[in-house]
Amino acid sequence: MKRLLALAVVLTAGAAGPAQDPAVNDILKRFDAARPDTKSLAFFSLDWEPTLKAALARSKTERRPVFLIANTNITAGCNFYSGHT
Amino acid sequence: MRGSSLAWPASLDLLRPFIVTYWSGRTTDDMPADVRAVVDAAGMTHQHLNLALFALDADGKLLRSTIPFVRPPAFRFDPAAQGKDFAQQLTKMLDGLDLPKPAERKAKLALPDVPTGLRIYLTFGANRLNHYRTPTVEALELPDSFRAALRYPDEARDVAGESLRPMLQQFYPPAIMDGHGGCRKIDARLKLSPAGSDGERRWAILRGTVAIELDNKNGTRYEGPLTLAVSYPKDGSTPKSIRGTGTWEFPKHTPEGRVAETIVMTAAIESRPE
Repeated sequence: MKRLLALAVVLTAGAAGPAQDPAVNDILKRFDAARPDTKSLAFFSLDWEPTLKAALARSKTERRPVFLIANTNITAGCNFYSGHT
Repeated sequence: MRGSSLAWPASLDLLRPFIVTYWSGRTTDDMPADVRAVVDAAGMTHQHLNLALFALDADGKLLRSTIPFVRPPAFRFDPAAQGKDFAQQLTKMLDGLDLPKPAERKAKLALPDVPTGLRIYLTFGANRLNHYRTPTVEALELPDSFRAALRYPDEARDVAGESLRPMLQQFYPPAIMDGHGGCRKIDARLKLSPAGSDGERRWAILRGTVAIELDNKNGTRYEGPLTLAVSYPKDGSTPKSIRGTGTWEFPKHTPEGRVAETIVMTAAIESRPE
């Protein structure tokens, strides 16, 4: 009986293909460690809209004020929300 | 500014009653009409705005405006000192306004996102000027060619960097003052290899190096490893999830073109939806 069970386990494992490479879990762990935590992402807890037009469309219906940040940079504008230039 | 003064907890709390938005361009000549109307109403006439702040009521009428004093060298690049000072300036700007109580938003993050695609978090190591204290977060939709390039490999195969360009071109640092926010050249040497099965999913690993040259005057160039774990349905070949990391050390130049320091940039990459 034990031999039959062992044979079944071997055959099942063979049907599923080779076992998962341990390196996969290492990569997933490195991702978890590199993903910023909630505290460092607090900037994204503000109620952002991508444009003044979109912000005013919402403010009129929600009756909330709007805060506009404006800046210039001679080589290229930047995306304050995402953080990229 | 984004990483220290604006992200300082007291500054964030002062901005919670508002719907927050931004405009940024090369000069005020680039402003759309609605932003120009606000800037004009504030009596700001200069072609350049290092930073200008405006509080508007729910109908878009200008309530308050200011050009804050944001000069990191004056605070020896100390983020705490910069943040506290900026919060004081915000307090003064908003003093006396009848603002609504902020909604219960404090703990809820609204990160850049897409229905299907990738989200990339860029974080940065210690640097002399205390830049990059708030992560850069990008979300991007993926063309079919991207998924096709990562189809399940029956055996290890090379993957052309060009097919992954929508992702690779996001691996650049902000605040490169002499650049336009893009890459001049990307060289990637990447291999996708099968990595077994956990019973429910099959896995593959993308490994290799990515070298990037920025479009700036100094031709900033950096190269580093990229590793992704890609999962697939047990009976399918189209990627189901992608997660991984990349690491680079990029040189930061002085205005005179000298390398002042090298800064570690780490990318954490995840597919969306989770």
